[in-house]
Amino acid sequence: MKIRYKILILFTVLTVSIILLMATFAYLLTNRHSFADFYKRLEIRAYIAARAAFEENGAAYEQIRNEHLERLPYEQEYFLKRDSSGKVATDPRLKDLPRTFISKALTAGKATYRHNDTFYEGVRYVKEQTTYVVIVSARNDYGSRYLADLRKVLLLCIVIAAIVVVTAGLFFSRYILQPVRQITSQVKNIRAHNLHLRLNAQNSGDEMSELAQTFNNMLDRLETAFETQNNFVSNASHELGTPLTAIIGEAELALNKQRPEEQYRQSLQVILQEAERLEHITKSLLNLAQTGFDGKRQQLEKIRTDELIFSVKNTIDRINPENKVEIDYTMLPEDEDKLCVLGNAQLLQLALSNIVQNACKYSDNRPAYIALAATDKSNIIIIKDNGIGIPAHDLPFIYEPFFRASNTSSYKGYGIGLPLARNIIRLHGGNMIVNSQQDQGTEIRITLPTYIE
Amino acid sequence: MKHVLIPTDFSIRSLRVLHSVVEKFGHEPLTIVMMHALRMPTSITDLMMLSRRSAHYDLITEDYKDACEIIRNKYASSIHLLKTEFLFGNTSSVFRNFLQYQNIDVIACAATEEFRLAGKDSYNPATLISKSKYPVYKVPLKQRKEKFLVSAMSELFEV
Repeated sequence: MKIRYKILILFTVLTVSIILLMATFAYLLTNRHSFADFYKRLEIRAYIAARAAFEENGAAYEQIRNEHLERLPYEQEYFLKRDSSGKVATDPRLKDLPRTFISKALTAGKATYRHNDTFYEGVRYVKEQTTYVVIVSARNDYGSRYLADLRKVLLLCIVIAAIVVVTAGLFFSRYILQPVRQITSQVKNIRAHNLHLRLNAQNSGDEMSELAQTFNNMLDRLETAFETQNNFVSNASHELGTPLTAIIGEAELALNKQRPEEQYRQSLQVILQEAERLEHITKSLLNLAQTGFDGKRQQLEKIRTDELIFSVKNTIDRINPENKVEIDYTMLPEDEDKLCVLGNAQLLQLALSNIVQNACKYSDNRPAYIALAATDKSNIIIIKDNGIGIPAHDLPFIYEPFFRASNTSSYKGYGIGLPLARNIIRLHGGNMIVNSQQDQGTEIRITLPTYIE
Repeated sequence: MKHVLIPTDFSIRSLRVLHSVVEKFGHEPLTIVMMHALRMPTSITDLMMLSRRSAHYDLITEDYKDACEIIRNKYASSIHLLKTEFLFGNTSSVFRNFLQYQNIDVIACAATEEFRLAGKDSYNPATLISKSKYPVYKVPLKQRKEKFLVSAMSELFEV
């Protein structure tokens, strides 16, 4: 069953049962009160009837009764005398009355009894050592009419309330589940090829925006994992290609014809050199590819950003020995604690080395700078090159996976590095700003929140 | 304790004077007052609400704040306090009052003027500074390169 209908049923049952309970309670209270009231009236009549029958000035009582007391429907009076032996006379019309009624009237002074619509009130009356039981019976027509009306009104109210509640419940459940439906339809649109899409989460802090936020975080991690794989493949095919070509060329050259031993030695030397470089590259690429997404829990640790940048520089040196990347330490804070961030060292290294690799690649190894500074709340890393830049009309799309700017056709690449780097920075709660001008250069500013103990 | 006044236009470039200031006076703790000069408003209502006005704080950019923090962190042992203050008015007496109130010992400013108007009421306090008879330390800065980047933050790194 859909949750919507569950909510609707639950809501209706709850509301209607509360209304029902209140109505029943009100009805029972009114019912009891109208009985008590009617017995009181019968009691007064019994006393007056007794006075009218047995007192000397009975005529006056009779007169008052006739003038001021309206006859109740089916009003009957019975005078039962108790003889000296203690037996009370009976009346054939009172056959419905239980025996206990009379004895209770004798002992307690009064007794009440109800048979269907007829109400009996008995009182004890003592006149000159003779004890009588005076019983007045009547039908409570007014009360029962009143109660019947009340019943009808209450039933009608419950029916109307139930209809209103069901209609309100329909809208209510629709309204409550609206964000869930939105999330569902948005998540449905996200596939492997558009993992960069995100749900629009309102910042209202309720459970639904939390859910959307959780989905977005999951997508961040998924996308990063996905891109890491792609990045490895593209890096591998690109970086491994150059030394492999050199090895193949050298070997082919050596095998071309018979050569003196010295030349073979030289060729083998070159091949060895290139193979060693290949090993270096594979190692560092594998290093980069081990990102903590291998089923283990993502480990967050305290990382020194200056050390991070240094190891990035080392990696770049190994992959691309001709680079001219310089690290600018001039703005380092005196307090080293301000250089700590919380994060996954391998992921951050992957992000930064991708950016720095880009800086080298798209500037044909012209000088590039990595600068590091710390404000009170964040670490700022600026990577600047003098390369070909990004055309202004391409800037809005640089974070889309597999997008490549229009001026990059002479460079190999797959358009994965920058989105990956941005995702990693985002996973660490930081942000990344790209400033660029075509044919002048690019400056990327990364902000990472400082880890404060 | 030395109190140094540096005029600022809220560009990162204006903060570069700080490097030389710390180099020259950094042997004792420094209180540095970055001063931005604003003309007194001319309308009566603006004048009445002047003490409650906060619009001028919008002139302080996030980059400028970050850069201030970076510099303060860099010279944590020399810079005791780095604050930004506004000077309202363009008469010498107002400026003298300001200098006395802030307890200024020396004024430092760039040798070559490169003033940018941060807001519509901003003005260049250079003439006030030269008339104030306070010691002025002129800091030679490299000529501004023709630059392509919008991000001001990288200017901080070109000493």
